Amino acid sequence: MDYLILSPVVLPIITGIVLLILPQKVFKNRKALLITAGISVVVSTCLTLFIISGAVGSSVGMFCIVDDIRIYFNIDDTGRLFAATAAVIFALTGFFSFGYMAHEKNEKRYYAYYLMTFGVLVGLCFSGNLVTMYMFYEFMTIVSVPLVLHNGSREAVMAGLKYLIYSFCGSYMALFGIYCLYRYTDTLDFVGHSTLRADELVQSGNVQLMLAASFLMILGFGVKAGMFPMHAWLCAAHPAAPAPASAFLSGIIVKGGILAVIRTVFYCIGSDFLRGTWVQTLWILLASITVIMGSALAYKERILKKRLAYSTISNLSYIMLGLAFLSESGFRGSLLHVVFHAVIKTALFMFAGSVIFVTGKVRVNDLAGLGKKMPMLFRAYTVAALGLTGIPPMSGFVSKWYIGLGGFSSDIPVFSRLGVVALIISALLTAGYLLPISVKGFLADENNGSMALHYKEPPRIMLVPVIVLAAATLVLGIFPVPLVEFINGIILDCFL
Amino acid sequence: MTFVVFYPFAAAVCYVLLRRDKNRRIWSNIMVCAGLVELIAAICLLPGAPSTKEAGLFIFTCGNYARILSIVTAFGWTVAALFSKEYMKDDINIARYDFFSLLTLGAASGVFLAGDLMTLFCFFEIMSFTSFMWVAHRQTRAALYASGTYLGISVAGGMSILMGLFIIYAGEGGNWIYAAAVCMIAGFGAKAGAFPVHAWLPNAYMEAPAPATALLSAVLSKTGIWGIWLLSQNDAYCYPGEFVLVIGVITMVYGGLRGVFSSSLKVTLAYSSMSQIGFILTGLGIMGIVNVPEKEDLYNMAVSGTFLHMINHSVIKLVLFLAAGIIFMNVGSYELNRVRGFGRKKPFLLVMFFLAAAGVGGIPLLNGYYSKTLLHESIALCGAYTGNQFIKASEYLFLFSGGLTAAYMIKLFMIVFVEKNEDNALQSEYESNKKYASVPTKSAVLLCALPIPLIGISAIFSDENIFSLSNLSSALISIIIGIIVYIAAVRLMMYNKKSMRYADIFPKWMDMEKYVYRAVFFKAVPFVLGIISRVLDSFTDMLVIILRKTLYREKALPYELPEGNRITHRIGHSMENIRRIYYTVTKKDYEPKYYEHELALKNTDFFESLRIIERSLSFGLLMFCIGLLLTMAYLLIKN
Repeated sequence: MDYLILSPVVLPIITGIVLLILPQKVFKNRKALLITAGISVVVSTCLTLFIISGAVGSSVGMFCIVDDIRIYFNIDDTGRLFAATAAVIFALTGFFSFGYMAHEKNEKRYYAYYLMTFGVLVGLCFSGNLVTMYMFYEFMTIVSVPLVLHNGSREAVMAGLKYLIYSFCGSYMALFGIYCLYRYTDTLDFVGHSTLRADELVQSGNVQLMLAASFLMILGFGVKAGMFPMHAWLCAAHPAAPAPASAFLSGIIVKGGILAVIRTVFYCIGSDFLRGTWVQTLWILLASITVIMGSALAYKERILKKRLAYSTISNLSYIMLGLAFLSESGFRGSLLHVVFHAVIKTALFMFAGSVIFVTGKVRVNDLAGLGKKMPMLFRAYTVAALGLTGIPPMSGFVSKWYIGLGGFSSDIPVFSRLGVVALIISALLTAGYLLPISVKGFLADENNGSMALHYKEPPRIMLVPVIVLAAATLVLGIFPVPLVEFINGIILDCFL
Repeated sequence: MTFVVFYPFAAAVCYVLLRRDKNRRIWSNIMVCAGLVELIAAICLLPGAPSTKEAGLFIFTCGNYARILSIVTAFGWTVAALFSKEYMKDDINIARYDFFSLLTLGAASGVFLAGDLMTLFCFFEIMSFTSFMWVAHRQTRAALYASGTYLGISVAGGMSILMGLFIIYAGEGGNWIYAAAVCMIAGFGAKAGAFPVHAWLPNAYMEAPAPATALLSAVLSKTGIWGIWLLSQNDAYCYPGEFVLVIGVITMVYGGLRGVFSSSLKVTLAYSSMSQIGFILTGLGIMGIVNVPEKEDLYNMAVSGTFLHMINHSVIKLVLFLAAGIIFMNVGSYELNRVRGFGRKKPFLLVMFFLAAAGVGGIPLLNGYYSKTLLHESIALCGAYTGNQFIKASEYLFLFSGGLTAAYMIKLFMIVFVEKNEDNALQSEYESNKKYASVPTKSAVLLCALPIPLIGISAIFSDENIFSLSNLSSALISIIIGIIVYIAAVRLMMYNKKSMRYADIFPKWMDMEKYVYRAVFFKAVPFVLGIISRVLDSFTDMLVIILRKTLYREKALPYELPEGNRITHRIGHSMENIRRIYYTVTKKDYEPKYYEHELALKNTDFFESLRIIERSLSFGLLMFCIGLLLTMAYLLIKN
């Protein structure tokens, strides 16, 4: 019966493959395709939510690859948190794309890869040991590339290649770490605490090697999370994809990297081993640099989707920074930000997509006065933007609060304080690059007179997901307590 | 208590859901009623001991000062709503304005009733953003400019407070705690309008509608002060009294000077606000300095002086900004040359304005005199107690700023109510205008003006000897300074006798907002950060490019040379290049000699002949001989 937990992994992948194989003419018109895809999306989401609400702690071991390395799935709280976030965002983005993809070609291929990506992602969340996770991590890269390549333009292809190369570089760094870990851990399974044989490591004199390996793993998995210096793919790949795909990539896929880092650092290596070492210092430093760099570049960027991609780089490093502090509060803030950033960034990309869908405008300056034509969309955007800036009572504030507190309870005195300063500066820049859009959207007069009269709100299937996400931003900010309690449970596991 | 805070939020939501654009009058009445409900609720808090309540993440406390301030907030808001009935009746986007006003009311109450810094911060941030819509309300270019600066400084101030909160909540010690205090004072000071973070203030006050400006000055500036006040009340926060004192004195003098030199009614009032905030901050600074057990009397005096001046300033600024609003409603401008002579033959307006102007100017028997005397006393005693030269100097600066206050109030009063407009037709039109304000508008102003003499007269019953000779004489000194400054600065410097107009003589290039804040924070800092980030951003890509140009150069696949082999190709190529260089150096015309080709031919010849030799019989014999020789040599060595 435990094999049932694999259904949310297998079902979307199989559906995706079937969709790929079926010839176009099976679907007589767009509606038939949409109904098929819609049913698949809804069923996959419901199945995932059903499994993670019911089957806690159930695990299933598959075949062994070699000796004692097996393909093993296990559902724990961290996985549930990530999978639940992914499922909700997946469904909303799915509905959004039913509206948006009307003016793109090759819809069938898009939905096929979209479903497969989700299945792989759930597999990543459910993975029970490092090797299984690594496998799904690689799958995830491969199946999400077609989303980037989708429109087939030269820019998109180059971005896709860049994405591939960076991801593989990262994976190989991580792979080296896995070899080292295999030698010095009891098991590569995620048992909820560190499995490192620290005594043996000290005796063998390979502590520095292990530290280097840990750093490589953080850096390698950090590629997906867009951490400096391996971030350059993100601002190329995300804007190149169609808007709903960028929303899903920026909101959810990148969190795969975060999850991998959490699994490595807190479940295998153990936070105690890294605390106070040069690895932690360097990690904090790189994350802080990324935080400010992403925001500053977003501030200077004029194309909305690129601006949001840079913003993703910066915000993912908030999460990395919170993890790097290796303190309970920072960890709590990071996990909260995983959820909140997923919600907010998806909403923002959907906003960008809606604007492109209705008006075809991609530049920030062209959006002035547009708020009067689509007030609901811009209101939702404003709420999300305030959330990302971290203004109470929006949700972004709660996560930033815990990350900031984490910085002051960390063991690296100077750099972690500077990390918090970086967080504050980045928040200022965030306000600077997000808020003017809604201010100008609502208040600026259309002085150029080129604003067409027929611009109106996007279709309901696109508008509703944005509003739902904006409402979630607000509600999660006002009532964060249940989520915080849930994360406290995870912390009890990881910080023993 | 939670009702006082959350009721306006609920009301705002209901309002925006129910509101239809018809029946504007009814909705403006409803707004007044909403304010009244809040006022009654706030008054209901008065009886009973201070208590604490938790609501979700938030904690609320109603101390004595907080209760009074929340009543002032509700009162000011209700009066402003009453005033808006006429002032805003033809305005655009009323629903939006009212919605954000209600939210701001709730947030401001939340700030005053907050029980811990976290709650305070949350409501403070909400308030910053909702009040943004007041400044941006008119949607003109100027309003957007002003609101942009307001938003920028609000966000920056908020983040500064957040930094301070992090440090305090993390329980840091040592120098960090001082950094926290400075961060928080900077953040709260930005909302209050303290120097040098006041840059948003004049333009924002100028662009907001009159009732909103009245609230910005009467309520929102107090929230900033309240934050610093709370900081000073807790010993754990290492409140730097001296720092606040210095800031306060600079704000006081700078605001006063700008007030005197301004040629616009509303800008003068805005700087007046800033200057009065300076007085309050000075009091707060003194509170920090004398907060020692043996000086409890002095501390209490500073506390009551500071708090009373907060209330007085709120009341007075409500009257002044609402009166300015009445003038704007009729004249359509705040320019002093335009409004000149408007107040003649309007006794109601004159009395109201005079009460407020005289109140803030420190005329005995009005409220400003009471609080300023308390503040002055405490500064003087504090100077005597510490023996610090700066505190003694700040006593004189205090009197001088009082003089500046008197000067710009005399300026406004003279221009609006005494002098005649240069345009005689306009003047007679002004004088014949008897229906310049409706009854609700007038009653709003009247309600605000009532406390001015009441508080002033109540000073007679206070314990301190407020009307002692020395206090009266220092008030007199201030007023004399005021008259001198008025004559010197306004009559001689600003007034141009030929054109009979007032000119703004403050140099334009000293516009801090434009040339310091916007230039630095909106342009220079992002520019520098942008360059650094761009370099970092392309770091990896550059590395890849460099590697590709050097180590991993993209070579064509090893291809078949048309003739010759690698070695001949290389040598020939090099020789050709050397020859080319030689010709370039000696500046002769270059004729290619095709070394590659020649070498290739030689090479082919060579191998060709080699192959022929290989196949010949003699070659076979030669090989045989060599083999034989080798065998013999081996045998010889072996034996």
